[in-house]
Amino acid sequence: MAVGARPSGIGELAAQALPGMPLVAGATLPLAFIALGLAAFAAGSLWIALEPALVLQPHLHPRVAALAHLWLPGFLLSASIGSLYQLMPVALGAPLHARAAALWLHFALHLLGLPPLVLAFARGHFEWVALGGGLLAAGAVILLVAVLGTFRAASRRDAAAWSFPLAAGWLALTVLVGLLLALNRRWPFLSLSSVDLLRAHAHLGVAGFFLTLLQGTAFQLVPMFTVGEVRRPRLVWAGLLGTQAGLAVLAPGLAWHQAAPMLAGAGLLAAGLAGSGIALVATLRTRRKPALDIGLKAFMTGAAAFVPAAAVGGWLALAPPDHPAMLRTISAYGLLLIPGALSLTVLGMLCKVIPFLVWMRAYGPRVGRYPVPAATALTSRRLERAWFATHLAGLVLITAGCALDSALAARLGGLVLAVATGLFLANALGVFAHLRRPRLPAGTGQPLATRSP
Amino acid sequence: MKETLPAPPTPEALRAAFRLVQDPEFGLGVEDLGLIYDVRVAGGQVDVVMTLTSTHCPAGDVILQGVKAAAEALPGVTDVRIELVWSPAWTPERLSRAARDALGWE
Repeated sequence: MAVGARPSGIGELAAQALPGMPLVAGATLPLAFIALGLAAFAAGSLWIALEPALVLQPHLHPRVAALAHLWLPGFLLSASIGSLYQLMPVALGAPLHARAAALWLHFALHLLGLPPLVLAFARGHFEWVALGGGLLAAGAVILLVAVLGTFRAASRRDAAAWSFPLAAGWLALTVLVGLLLALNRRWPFLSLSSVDLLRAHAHLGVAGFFLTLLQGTAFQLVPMFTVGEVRRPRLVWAGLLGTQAGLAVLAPGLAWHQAAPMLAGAGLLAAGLAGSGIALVATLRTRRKPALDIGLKAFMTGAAAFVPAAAVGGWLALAPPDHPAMLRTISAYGLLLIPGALSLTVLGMLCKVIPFLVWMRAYGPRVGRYPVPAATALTSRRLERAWFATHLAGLVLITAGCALDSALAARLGGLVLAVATGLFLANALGVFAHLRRPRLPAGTGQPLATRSP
Repeated sequence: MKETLPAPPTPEALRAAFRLVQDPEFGLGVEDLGLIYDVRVAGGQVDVVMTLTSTHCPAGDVILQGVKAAAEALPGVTDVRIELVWSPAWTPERLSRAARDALGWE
């Protein structure tokens, strides 16, 4: 049976329409992926706080590569997979096409693959990098099969729906290229430059998986949480297609170090980003609720951070390779993208997803029987606000420190980012605590039927 | 001695009970959200016609089961049938005044 498929005998509920999608594996699997991502987030932020000078090192430094992999497949990918497994059936209107055992196998492969991947990068042991990458690649295949099966079973075929199989396909390609890179470092067999292939690998992951997914899910999540409507649907399509075409040209251009496809690909990618951005702003303007909560503010700020990141990326594509600021600018580009655009969008999304999943598990079975708190009441507004402000401050400091080659600003930025992570995790742990000890609103211990309406 | 069943609740009493069945995202009862289209009571039989804010509402199951549980908990109710409909589609215009004020909506 597909995970999330409705068990028979649901009672007297009408059968003519699906009343929403049930929780995937009782929400435990998405929460497990998210918890793994948050653990990697904590480790990555602590590492930056303890060794902030690392961000001033060239991006090819082994420990920089280790930190990037702790942050990208460790934190951002884990959290995104957890959210994807829950959100995709909702967005596509079809149960997740995978057995629970297969999804848990994916989690196990991901969990077991990350430590060798990160630790071996730090020590330059590429056979162990290949082993960790191989485990992640096997997990990515499970995800790809689940996504393709669910997409085939669903009828929705707009840009938001297409973003799922496209992102899963790019992810599979990303891990395959990463695996080739690691094997080639240990047993050289490719005629391509490892540095060029590494850049293609990084763009496949960032633009192929994360950006593609965001270009689709943003048009599901933002209207859902603000009760707005998707506007400029042709531009939504154009944005997604621009990114796909751009990456299909950019990645080979980077791998084979060809200037013309690099520039053309970067241009198409930037155009795709602009299209999605314009459509997202138009969609946001249809919202009924004027004030945005912190989760949505962070999500939109992260989406906006793609603009300076793309500008820096454009400069990198045009500047001569021996430009004295090249290495620093590459690092600043990475910071704008990883703790900037990607982390803010993913963390913003988690501000909504974690309370919702925890609420569904802790309070869902009590709805209609006992008064329950709203999902939004599980979080601390003060901690959320403090996290967001601190994360932005840390991001600005560390990126400026890197771009201006200021060790002091980079150190300060690393510490501030670590404080921000602590604030986010404190809030998330407070939400997770409801799973162990649900808290009913004060004075509402009685069943609803015994209370006066 | 013959046991007498309690009188069934009125549609108004049922709607009041549905105010306490909350949507997780908005923290508002399904009645104030405008999700309940019709409530009919015949003897102990309760029929509810309702919708969800979207066809793929992730909390759909919980909300429907909550409405069913809230109705079943009232004295005099022997059976509850819920008909989920998508036409007319829910729009934010169906929110009650109290719900709009609570959400700070324009």
